[in-house]
Parts: sequence; structure tokens; C-alpha cells
Amino acid sequence: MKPQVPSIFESFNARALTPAQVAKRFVPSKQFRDLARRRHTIVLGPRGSGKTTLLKMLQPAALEAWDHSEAEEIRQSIDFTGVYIATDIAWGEQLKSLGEGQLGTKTQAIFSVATFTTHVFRCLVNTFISRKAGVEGFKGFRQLRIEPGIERAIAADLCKEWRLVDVVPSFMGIRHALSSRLSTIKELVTCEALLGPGGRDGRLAQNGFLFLDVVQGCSNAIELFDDALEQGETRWALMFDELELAPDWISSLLVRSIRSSDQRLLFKLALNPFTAKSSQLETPLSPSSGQDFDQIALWYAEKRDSYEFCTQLFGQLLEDRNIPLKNPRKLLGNSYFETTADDWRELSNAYAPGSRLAKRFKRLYEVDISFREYMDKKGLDVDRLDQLGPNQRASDVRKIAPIVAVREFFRSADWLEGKGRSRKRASLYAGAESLFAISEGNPRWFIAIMGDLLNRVNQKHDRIPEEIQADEMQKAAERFVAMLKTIPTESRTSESAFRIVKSVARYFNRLVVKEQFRPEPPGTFKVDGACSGEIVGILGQALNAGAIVYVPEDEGQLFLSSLREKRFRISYLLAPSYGFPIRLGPPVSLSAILGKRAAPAIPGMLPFGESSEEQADAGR
Amino acid sequence: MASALFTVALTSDLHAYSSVLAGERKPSHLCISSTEEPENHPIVGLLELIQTQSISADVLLCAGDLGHQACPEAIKYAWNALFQVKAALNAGELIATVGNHDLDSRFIHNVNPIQTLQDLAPEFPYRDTTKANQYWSRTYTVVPVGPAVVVTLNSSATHGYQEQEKNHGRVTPAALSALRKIIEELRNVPIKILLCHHHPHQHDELNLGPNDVMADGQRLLDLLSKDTSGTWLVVHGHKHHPKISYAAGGSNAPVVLASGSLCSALFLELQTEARNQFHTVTFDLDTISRLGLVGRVRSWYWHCGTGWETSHRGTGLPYECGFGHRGRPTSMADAIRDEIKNDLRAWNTIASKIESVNYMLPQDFDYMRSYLHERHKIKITDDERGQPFEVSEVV
Repeated sequence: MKPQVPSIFESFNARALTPAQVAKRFVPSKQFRDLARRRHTIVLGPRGSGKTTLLKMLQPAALEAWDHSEAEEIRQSIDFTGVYIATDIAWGEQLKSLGEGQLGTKTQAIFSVATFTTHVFRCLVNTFISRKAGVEGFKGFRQLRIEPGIERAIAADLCKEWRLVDVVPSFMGIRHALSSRLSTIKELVTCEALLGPGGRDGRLAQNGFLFLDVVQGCSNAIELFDDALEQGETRWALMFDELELAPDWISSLLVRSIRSSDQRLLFKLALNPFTAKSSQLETPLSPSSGQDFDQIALWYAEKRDSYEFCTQLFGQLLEDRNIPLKNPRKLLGNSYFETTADDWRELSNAYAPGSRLAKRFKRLYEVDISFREYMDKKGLDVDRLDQLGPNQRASDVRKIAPIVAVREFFRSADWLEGKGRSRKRASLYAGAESLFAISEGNPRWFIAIMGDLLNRVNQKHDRIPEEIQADEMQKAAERFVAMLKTIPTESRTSESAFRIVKSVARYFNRLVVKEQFRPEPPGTFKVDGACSGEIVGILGQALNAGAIVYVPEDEGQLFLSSLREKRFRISYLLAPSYGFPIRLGPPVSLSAILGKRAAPAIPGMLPFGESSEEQADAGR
Repeated sequence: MASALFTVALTSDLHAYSSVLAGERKPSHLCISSTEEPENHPIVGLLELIQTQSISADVLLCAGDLGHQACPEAIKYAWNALFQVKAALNAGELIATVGNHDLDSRFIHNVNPIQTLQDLAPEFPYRDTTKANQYWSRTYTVVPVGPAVVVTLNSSATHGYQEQEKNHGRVTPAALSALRKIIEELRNVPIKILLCHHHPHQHDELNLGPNDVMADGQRLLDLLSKDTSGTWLVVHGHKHHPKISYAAGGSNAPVVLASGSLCSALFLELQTEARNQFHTVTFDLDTISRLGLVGRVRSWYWHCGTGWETSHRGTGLPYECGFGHRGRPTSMADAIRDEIKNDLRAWNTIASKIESVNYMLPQDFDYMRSYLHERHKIKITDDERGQPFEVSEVV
């Protein structure tokens, strides 16, 4: 198993939170509404993108505790009971180490299956408990009044079904018994490692619980529950989180179950975007996206797609801090790249001579020969941009405005003289729209950056000063860079996720700032055939960590078993560190960026061209 | 009609200190110069716990060893800290007693071993000067608090005299004689508590050592056992090991509650089954009038780095337990079997039906649990806090 990719802002991880804690500040996104549909679903997202939160929010206890203007409507629309199941390291690796390598693959698999099955049963019975209304008579979301006699009857049958003995016939009793069973399995693993293979089959066969079928066991339990409580045939969603950590056979089993299982069961699986397990969805017998299941991406290739979600999350953070609700643009200002209503109002045209934008074009025109050549060749007069027709302004001026903004910013006199560099670089990205883009719509990043920012707000200020925004963005970017440096690789060379990402980010900066002016410089890259398998593998980890973002050509193909021939961009969270525009651009092949480094590496050899690249970097 | 409840909060053995030499083991988690985060400072943490869990008490007791090795600044710090705890609990009184570490019996800081304690303000061990004077001169004083009375006994009164005395506690013949009369005077008091530092009966498990037991402690317990008006609760500290038991003797022998330690660094052996604990003991006067002295104890334990949390197995006393019911656990198990028949029953329905089950010692309860399972195939399941949740015959 590959090591887990680290992540920043771990204190915001929902893994350890109770359903009520998760619900406390939950803001529904489009993805949550999609996930709440009665469909098999695969949720894909890098670390911190909120997969755990989304799945946990579908548990009855979380939905019950959720207080939000849309909560009631969403609760009403959900017609299944969510059973949250976190992947446990004990399903595979832990048992392997307990067995000290003394158990064969077959025995290992038997124990692994039994542990997984027991764990899933335990999660299901926990959900039964959460559906039990309190004795006071209050009935929460999907709760039922369950008389002790009924509970005893369900539990007694369940004990037979799941081969539990000497158990109090109640949901709590079964939960305890399943916890004991997990300990028993570990004991058996250790014993088998000591006893050796002689007579093992006979010994294992005596423990019938080791061979229970997880899907059948769940179906039967649900049937017992529904029948005893006269519920008819209801639906239950088994929601598996962090499946990339599970042994392959488990994900394979779950993927198969999507196609063949009982109608009562829904499967909702959360995965990293890049995992070898995705290949399980690519065989002829695999379920197909759109028909058998929906896929949900928890990233936004286009920055504008995350704006609405970020705005809602922003409102929630203001509310948490008792700051009066404000439009984010009021509190954070406009982005450096935007054309605002003020720009149009003040001089009747945003590009009128003397306007903010016209000045920017003019300044660049004066200091940048290649930009001047481009404008002259196009016949564009920097002093008369306002006189262009709307169509020509859109195609020739507005399109290049973000590139002009970045290029002019880094080529300005202040910058070249080296005044306050790091702060200044980040200040390019101040303002609501840019700040939201930099958070990538990743709730963990957004809450961390914005939370720290709002903690520094002086309530008297109408607007958070640019330099404070720059400080927080810079800090977040630096933490992210520090985390990227810790991603372990299996590579024998000095290549790493950080080194590759850094090279690409600097390349995009150089194209925009240093080289000949181009109206549409590349801003994305394609992993072409010239890239070594090693580079592609490392990029997979960068993708799972959120350092690069997949830009799918086809929205139906979100999960990746290979990164080859796919298009990506660098995470905007790194923009304050490397100074590239926060926009998609045409793709360039990765091998063109990495040069000789893209080819299969020779162990011990330093990557090519690193030192000259350091000097060429305009952002340093 | 709601019955009248009376709650006593228990602390002991703070062992506050001012500094340690390089490489020396810290005696406790309570350093008078440490930073004050609730996760790392046991008193600040306790104040937060009291607030967040709305814990209140009528009286706060401290069974001694406020400071470590008689450090004057630390004792003052701990005394002030206890008053903050008292205020947070909204308790009417704070009553303490002397621990061996509170006395300068090696004359390091003073020629008078009790000088630091006598200089404290408010008065130690109780705010009333007359009672404080009686405590210092007669080794005990009697403090009425609502429906209860607390006799606070100085079991370290002979420390600083004969050399060997400082190695153990003692109840003096004079104190015993006085107590005989006091017992008569308190016949109409429903809740009678004797507070002392040293353990009046042997408490030497976990290699805790047998030599420091209170000399003549058994005589003290025997004397209290003879009180025909009711049963006594004896609260002590010193051993840092929370435990509740009945004293040796007849069925009116006192309940002995070893409070453990609020903040001290526990010995390795102790750490195998105990943590620092804070307790409250709640008495229901109506129940006492029917069943005699019974009560419920609630406990929290200190986790350095996290703060105070509800106790569970392995941390000393459980989150909740009882005392006072001395019937056979097997009879109680039979009564439960008869009550549940073949049903699944919520534990609280059993506890309201068979009242005495609430007042079994934790060790009696465990015995009953095992007996129920072995004899009647009945099991009790616990909730997340380790408290009984439901009960049924097993399948």
C-alpha cells in the first residue's frame, strides 16, 4: 500500500468529529445535493476536499442536528438511511503485521474479510441505534419508536444471522459483541501465526463468523429491521470513506456490488482522484458512470464554479464570529484582475484614459517592448482602448487583461527594485474572487485561510486591508509548500512532487512575466508520452494532495487510473508563492516543461537545468 | 416532589510546588508558575470542567497535602486555588485538613511546623477562627453544613515531635475520647462525614506500603461503627489511590472513601489502575431516611494535555458508582432476574424499580454482574461512559 499523502490544516479534518459537530457549520454545496440523491455514487477529491464531511452529513444524526436555511428541504428529499463507514487500517496492513508475515495470502484474506465485515456490521448497528427515538417520545430525523420487545426480537435474529452468541439482544449489546469479535479476530491471527499451517483449515472452519458475506449480512439485517418495524422496503446507503486506504479486494468488492446488489442498498464510495483502484471501474463488467452510478468531483477546474460555495461558507464563518453579514467583495475588496462596476461608473468606461485598467495597459506598453510590438501589430492604441467596439474590446483587450495584470505587476518598478517582495507578490491575489479561487473551494483550506483572516478583522474596518490578506495567503501557501515537501516518494532519484510542481509553476510564471508577450500563454499541462512512469506516479501523489488539479476534457471521466494524456493545472493555492495567473490556459506538454527530467531518470543524477531555472524565476 | 439533595465535592493531595532541581522528578501537575491553559493546569482545567458541566456542590472538602514538602508559597497558592474551586462550585463552605506534606516537620522553612498553615487567610482548615483554633489545639473540629456535619481530624498532629511519628498518621486518645461525646451530640444529623488525611485502615495494595496507616485508625473506625444513629462516611487522602470500601467490622462500619489525588504525579504502580481524580458525592435525604447512609459518587480524571474528562475503568473510581447498600450481590442479581423476566430492559427502569442497586459499591456491582451472567445468563451492557445501559438474558 502506498503511504498516505499528507495534508495541511489537519485540525479541520472531520474524521474525528461527531455527527453533530460536523453538522454545526455545514454549508450545503451542489455536490452534497448530488450525493444526497438516491443513486450509487463515487465521490472523488484530493485530501481536505470535504469527502468525509459530505458522507458524515448523510448520517441521520448529522442531518437531525443540522441547522441551516436549506436543511429541512434537503432532509425531506433524502429517502435513505446513511451508514458511514471509515476505512480502518486493521482491514489489511494491521492484520498483516499481527500475523508477522507467517500467514499465507489465503489466510490473510480470510481475516481481512472478517475484520472488514465485522466493522461494517458494527457501523450498521450504530445506525440502528441512531434511528431509535429517545424514551421521551421525541422523534428526530428518520427516528422510530422501537419498543424494547421489538428491539430484542430484531437483535436476537440478528445474533443468529451474524453468528453472535452470549449477547444481550439489543443494538447496543450487538455493538459490544462486534467490538469483542474484532478483538477475537486479532487473537486468532496471532494464534495462527504461532500454530503454523498444519490443521489451519480445520481450525478456521470452526469459526463460521469468519466467512460471513458482508453485503448479504447487511441486506438481511436491514430486512429484519424494516420488517419488524413495518417499514416496508426502505433504502440504506453504505458510505465508505477513504477507500484508497483499503485493500484492493475491498474496493473491488464494493465496485462490483454497485452493479449486482440488492435494491435496498446504495453504495457511496469516497476516493482520491488518482488511485490504482480506478482501474476496477474500467473492466468490461464494471459498472458504468452515468448509468450505474454518478460520479462527483470535489474540485473545481474552473475557478468561477467554486465562487457560490465559497460565498456561502464565507457567510457561515462571519456568522460564527458574530460579524455582520457582508458581501465578500465588500469585506475583501475586488480582485486585481476584475473589471468592476466602479471602473465603469467613474469614467463611464472601464478603459477610458486615466482609468485603473487603461493605466495598467499604458504602463506595460511603456516598459515592455514585446507587449508594445503586440499592441502595435494589432493596431491597438493604449490611449484609446475605450473607443474600441464592444466585440473588439472583448476579443483583443479583455481577454488579455489578466495576463497584462500579472505581467505589469511583476515588471513594475517597485517589483524590480525588490521592495517588500513576498508580501507584494501575494497582494496581487487579494480580493474576494482571487482569494476564493486560491482556496480552490476546498473547505478545509477555505476555513483555515479565511478563519485566520477573519480572526484578524477589526470590526470597525469596512474592508480587510490587502496586506493582511496577503499575509494570510502567503502563510497558507508556505504551509502548503512545506507539506508538499513531505510527500514521500518511492523514487530513487531526487525527483519529488514538490520539485515537479515547483518547476511547472515557475515555468508558467516565466511564460507570463519574462518571455515574449503572448495573448494566451499556456496555463495547463498535459502528461505526454515522453514522461517517465516515475514522474507520472509522483504526479499522482501531487494530485491526491491537491497540488495539481485535473481539468477533464470529458466531465464523465473524473476518476483516473492513469494520468497520461490528461490535462492538469497547478493549484491556485501556490499562486502567491510562484506568481502565475489564476486562470486556465491552453495546455503544454509536461515534457516540454521538464526537459530531460521527464525521461526515465538515472539514479543519483541531478535533474537537468535546476540552477538556471532558479535564476530565471521572476518571482524570487 | 423533588427530594432534597446534598452534594459534597472532594479534592485531595494537590502537592503544589514552586520549582524542582534539574533532573528531579516533578511531584505534581500543579506548579505555581506554570501557564494557565485548561488542558495543562489542573486547577484552571477543573474550573472549566465545573463550568462546562454545570457541577455544583454544597461544600468542598480537601483531604490535605495542599503543597509538596511544606513549600510555603505552594501551600498558599493551593489554598487560594481551592477557594476558586469553591466559588466555581457555588459551594457554601470549604473545609480542609492537614496532610503530612503541609507540615514543616523537618523545619526547612520554619521552626514551627504549622506556621505556614496558621498564616493562611482565610483561616485553615476552616474560615471560623474558633474552630480553627480548636483544630490546632485539639486535633479536630466539627463543622455543621446544612443537613451534614464534617468532623475534620488532624491525623498529622504528632508530626514534628517524635522522629518516627512523621512516617504515619495518628488519631490521638484525646481525639477519640472527644469523638465519643461528639457522636452522641450528632444523633440527629443525617449525613456525618469524618475528614482526615491518613487512611484509617490498611491500604497497601499496588506496592503502596503498609507503614503509614493511621495509628489507632481501627479504633477510630470501631468507635464510629458504634453510632446507632447512622453510618459515617470517612474521607481520606494520602495514598493517591481512589477507592471506596466498607471498614472492617459489622454492617454499620463506616464507608471509607479514599479520594486519591487531584494533581500529584502518580507512582508507576498506581498508574496501572488510577489517574488523578476529582469527585462529588451526592446524598438524597429522603433515601437516607429509608435506607440509611447511601450515596452516589461521580468522578472525573485528569489527562494532562486534554484536561478533565469523565472517568472510566482504569482511571480509579468509575464515572458513577454508589455506596451504602450492604446486601448480598447475589440476592440483588436474583431480584434483577425476577424483574426483567425475558425482556430487554433499560437499566434506568431496573434502577428505579430496585432502588438499592444504585447504592452498591463498584466492586459489589461487578460481582453481581458476573454472577448474573454465570448463574442467570443475564448480561448488562454499558453505554459509552461505562455506565449500565440495558439488561437482558443473552441469546
